[in-house]
Amino acid sequence: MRRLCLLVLATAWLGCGEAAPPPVPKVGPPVIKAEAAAPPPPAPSPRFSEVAREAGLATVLYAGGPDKDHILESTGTGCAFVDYDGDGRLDVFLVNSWALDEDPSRVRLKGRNALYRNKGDGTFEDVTERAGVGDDSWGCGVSAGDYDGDGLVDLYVTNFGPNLLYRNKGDGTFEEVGAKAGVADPGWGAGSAFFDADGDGDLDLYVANYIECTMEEVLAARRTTTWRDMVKVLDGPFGLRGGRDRFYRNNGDGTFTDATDAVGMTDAAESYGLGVLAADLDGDGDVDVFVANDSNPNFLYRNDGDGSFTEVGAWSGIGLNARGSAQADMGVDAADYDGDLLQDVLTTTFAQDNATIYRNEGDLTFQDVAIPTGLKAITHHALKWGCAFLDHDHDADVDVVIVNGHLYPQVDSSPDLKETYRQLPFLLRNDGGKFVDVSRDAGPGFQVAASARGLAVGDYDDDGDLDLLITAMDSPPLLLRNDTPRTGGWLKLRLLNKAGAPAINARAVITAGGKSQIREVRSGSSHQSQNSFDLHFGLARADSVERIEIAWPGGQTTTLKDVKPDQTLTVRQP
Amino acid sequence: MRLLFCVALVGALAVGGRDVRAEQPADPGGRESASAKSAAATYERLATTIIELNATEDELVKSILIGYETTAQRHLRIAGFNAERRGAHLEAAAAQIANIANEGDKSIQAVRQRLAKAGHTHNTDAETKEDYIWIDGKEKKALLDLASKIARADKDADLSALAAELTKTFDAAVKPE
Repeated sequence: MRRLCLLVLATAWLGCGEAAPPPVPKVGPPVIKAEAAAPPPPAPSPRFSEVAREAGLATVLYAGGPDKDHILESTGTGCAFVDYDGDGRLDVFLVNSWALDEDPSRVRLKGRNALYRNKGDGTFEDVTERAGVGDDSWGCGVSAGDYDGDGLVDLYVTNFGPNLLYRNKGDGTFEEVGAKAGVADPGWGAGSAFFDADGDGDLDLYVANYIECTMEEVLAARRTTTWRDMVKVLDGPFGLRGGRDRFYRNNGDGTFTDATDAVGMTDAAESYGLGVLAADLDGDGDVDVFVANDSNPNFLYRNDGDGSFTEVGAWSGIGLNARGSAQADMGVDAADYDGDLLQDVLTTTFAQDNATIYRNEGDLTFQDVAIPTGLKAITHHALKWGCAFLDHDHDADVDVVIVNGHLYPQVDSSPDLKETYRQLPFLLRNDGGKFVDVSRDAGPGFQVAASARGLAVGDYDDDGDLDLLITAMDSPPLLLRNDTPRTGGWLKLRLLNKAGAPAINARAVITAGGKSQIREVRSGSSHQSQNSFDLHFGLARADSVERIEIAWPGGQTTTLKDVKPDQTLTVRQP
Repeated sequence: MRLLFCVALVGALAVGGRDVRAEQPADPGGRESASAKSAAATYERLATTIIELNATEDELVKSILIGYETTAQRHLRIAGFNAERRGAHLEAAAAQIANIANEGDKSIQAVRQRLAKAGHTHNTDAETKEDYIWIDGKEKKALLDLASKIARADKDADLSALAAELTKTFDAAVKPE
C-alpha cells in the first residue's frame, strides 16, 4: 500500500513538471560493432557470415514506433525455414507487423509477411504475392505442419488479432482458412505448435496467447515505468491481463474445435505465454507440451496418453528456476546436451537474468543446471530471445545459439546502465556438458549487433551444416551462413509420414562412432519461429552411422544400419 | 484501489484546507479545530479499516494454504493404502504442496499479480525480491523440493515420514513471524 501511495505521489509530481524527454535512440538496421582485435582462435573455429542482403532477403520487419511505448512493439516477429514447395530446399517465411508514428500516435505503415523461395544457388526470390501470403495484420509468430493430411506443409501465423492458417494448395499458392478451420484465435498470439495430442493421426494445435489488450490501448500507451532508476520505459507485462492459451483439437475434416478445457489445459493463471515446445519429453511415445511464460511459472502439460493432459510444471522442477522464481521466459528449445538421450529444455530470459537449461532427469522431472553448465555466467547480462540447440561444428554434441536484443531502445541513452538496444548473439560450444562462449571467434556474422527476436535453424544452402535465420526489430532479417571449415561428418534425416509430410514428433536415435544422439521433428521453435524439419546430426570423425532407430508417431519403429555420412537421407513412415 | 482514492481524497482535502486557511482570518467559531478533529477521526477510522483489511487478507490466504495442506495430507493418506492409484494421489499431493509454495493455485496467482501491480504488496523476500505473505523464498524452495520428492516417491517410500515433513514445513511457514 505504501508503494501505491508513493506511486500516486510520483505520478502527481511528474504531472506538474514539463521534464524534457530523454533523447530517443534512432532505430535502424543492424550495425557492425567495432570489436577489439582478438587473437586468432585455434583451428577449427566456427565461422558464420551475414549474407541476408546478397541472398535477397530484404523485407524490413516493422515493430511499432521508435520509442516502443507499448509492449506489443517490443516482442518482435518470428521466422521460418520451411520447404513449402517440396523441392527439397529450405524457403524462408518472415512474419511482419506494423510501423507506428508517435506524437500523434497512429499507424504509419502495415508491414506484410513475406515468403521467399529458395532458388538453389544461395539466393531467394520473393514469391509473397504469387503465393498469397502477404497478409498485413500485426503478425507475431509462425509454425508449420500438415494439418489436413495432404502431404503439404501448411503455415499457422499468430497475430495481434485473428490468427491465420495458410493451407498449402500444392501449386505454390496458399489459401487462408483460419476462420473456416476454427483457429482464427482473436487474441495476441505468440508461440504455437502443431502436434498430435491424441494419437489419432492428425495434427492438433496449441497457441500461447501473451496479453489481452486492444490497438487503442497500444496507441494510447505512454512510457511510465522507470527502469533501474534511469530511463522511462514501457509498462508490462505486469499490470496487463494475460491472454489465455488455447488448444485446438483437429476434427479430421479440415476444422478444429477449441478443446482447451476438455483436455485439461485451462490457463487459469492467464499467464503471459510466449514459447511453445511440443515434444515427447518423457519418451513415452506421446507428446507433452511445455509453455515458456514471461514472468509467470512455466507450464508443463504431461500427456496422459488418452488425449488429456495434467499440468505438472509446479512440482516437476521446470516451472520455476533453482531459486524458486518465475523467470521472464521467452524462447525455448529442447535437445540432449549431456548425452543421456533425454531431451533437456533451454529457455531464454530478460536482461540481468540468465538463460536456463533444465536438465531432464527422467519421468518429467527437471533440474535447473544454468550454473554448472556455465550458462548463467555467460548469459546473465544480455536480453535473450530466440534460441536453439544445434551442432554447429559437427563434433557430435549440441551447442547453443541465442539471439539477443534489449526491450527498451531508451537504454542506449543512459550509458550508466551498461545496456544496449542492439546486442550481439551468443554461440556457446558444448565441451562435455559445459558451455564455452565462442561468439566473438565465430566469424563476422556473430559480430553484427541487432535487436534480435526470432531465430530459425536450418541448412538453407544444402552444404550439410546449419545456418541461422534471425529477425531483428525494424530491420531486414539476418541470414548467418555457416562457413565453418568442415572437420566432422554429418547426417540429415528427412522423416516423412505416410502422406509425405514432415513426421512431426518422430524421434530418431543414431549411433555413430560409438556415441548415440537423439533428435525430434518439431513444429514451432525458438521464439515464435519454425526450424527446419530435417534432423541434423554432427558425426565427428565417424565414417559410418552404425545404427538409426526411428520412433514414428503412433508407435511404429524403423531401424537402419550402416548408413553413410554426409548425406540427406529421406525416410518414409512405413 | 478504492481505498487509495479515499486516502488521496482525504489528503487533498487536508492540503487544500490548509491553503485556504492560510488566506483567511482566524476562525471565530472554532470550525477550524472541529474540521481538523473530524479529519483526524476519519483518517483514524480509515487506518483501522486498512489494517483490518490487511489482516483479513493475511487470514484469507492462510486459510487457503491450510486448505491445500489438508488436501495434500488426505492424498498422502489415500496413497498409503490405495496401491492402484498411489501414483495419482502422490502427484495430487505434490500439486497441492506446490500451490502452498506459490501461495495459491493459478487463479490465486493471477489475483496476486494484479494486486502487486496496483502497488498492493506484502513482504519482500530478501533473496528473490519476490512479494509474499506467508511463504518466503527459503520455505518456498523447501516446499517445492518436498513436492518433487513426493511426486517421485517409489513404492518403498515412507509416506508417513513425508506427511510429517509436510506438517513441519507447513507449520513453520504459516506461523506468525
